[in-house]
Amino acid sequence: MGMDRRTFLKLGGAIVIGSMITPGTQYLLASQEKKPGEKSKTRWGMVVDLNKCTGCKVCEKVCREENNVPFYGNKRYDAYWIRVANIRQELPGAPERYIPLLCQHCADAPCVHVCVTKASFVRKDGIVLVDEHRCIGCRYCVVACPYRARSIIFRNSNTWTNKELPRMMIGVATKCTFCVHRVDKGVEPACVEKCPHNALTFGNINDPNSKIAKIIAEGKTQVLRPEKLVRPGVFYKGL
Amino acid sequence: MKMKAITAFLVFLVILTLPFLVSAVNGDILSQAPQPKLEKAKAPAGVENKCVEEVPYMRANHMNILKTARVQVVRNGLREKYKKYSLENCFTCHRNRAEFCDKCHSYAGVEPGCFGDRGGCHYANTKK
Repeated sequence: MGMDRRTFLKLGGAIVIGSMITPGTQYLLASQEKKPGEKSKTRWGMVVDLNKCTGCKVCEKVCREENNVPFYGNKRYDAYWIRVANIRQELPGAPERYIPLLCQHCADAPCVHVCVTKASFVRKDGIVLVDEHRCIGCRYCVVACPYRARSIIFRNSNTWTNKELPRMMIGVATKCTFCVHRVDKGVEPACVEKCPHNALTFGNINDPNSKIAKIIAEGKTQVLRPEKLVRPGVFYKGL
Repeated sequence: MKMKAITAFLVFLVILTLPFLVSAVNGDILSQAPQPKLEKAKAPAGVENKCVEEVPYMRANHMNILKTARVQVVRNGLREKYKKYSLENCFTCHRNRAEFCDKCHSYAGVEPGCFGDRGGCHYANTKK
């Protein structure tokens, strides 16, 4: 025995404490890893100018036509990818105001965190998508979304205006995709292109020279529900 | 008693080797079964008359190719890279869906989920 009791206890203690600390450092390292949409070159985002929005709901109609979003005329089943809400006015006689609500394409999307099948995911360029082949329709994401941006398809749909995209069938969660098929081709989303009042601006937030980054840099934009800390990609001006 | 045991064993052996015996008598049954007859795919003018992969490979693995392309497009956004493996691209030459998809699939008892009559989400841009 070349070790006295004291060194033995010291060594043993060191090993125990070391084995307790090491996994903690692993977590620390993991938390410093790159988060999706944060440091990548492109992060697609949108700025909605509420001063220009008149509540004409052209964006809703255009979105339905572009993405085959079903409309049944029944409030319980209707799916919305973008919906124009009326802001309630406190003062009598105040002008009517409208706010287009769509998926905010959060960097820390709660819908992605809760998804049991990993059907929801954040793409490298910040777009949050649903893999509809993988979705089982459990509706966790619908509950988790702080913006109510997701719709479950409750009925089989015959809406099939755009044959390039699949028709929506029963039992999946769907949401705004920023018209990802158009964005990949380098075209703006349909609602941005067709808005008659130019209230919507689409672009790359991480590129300081883009139009949208300059609007955000002015400092007059806000995000909805900032207390949720989900880092949305949609900004509102004149809220 | 011993005779009985041997007979039972022989009967058991015959039952065990029945599949081999039947095929030894009848020859290869699989090749004798009626195969679905397909008409040859014709590329439209201006397109090379050649499939994206070799024909026997496509016959065995077209579903995996389509699945890979779907995952890469949806998850990673590699739309341009996997365009030639898309369902749309199949239909440029295989114009007749009833001929190229349905005939073999109904023969094998497999329903393609892409554009089946119940729950088909994708549009088959073909004459049916």
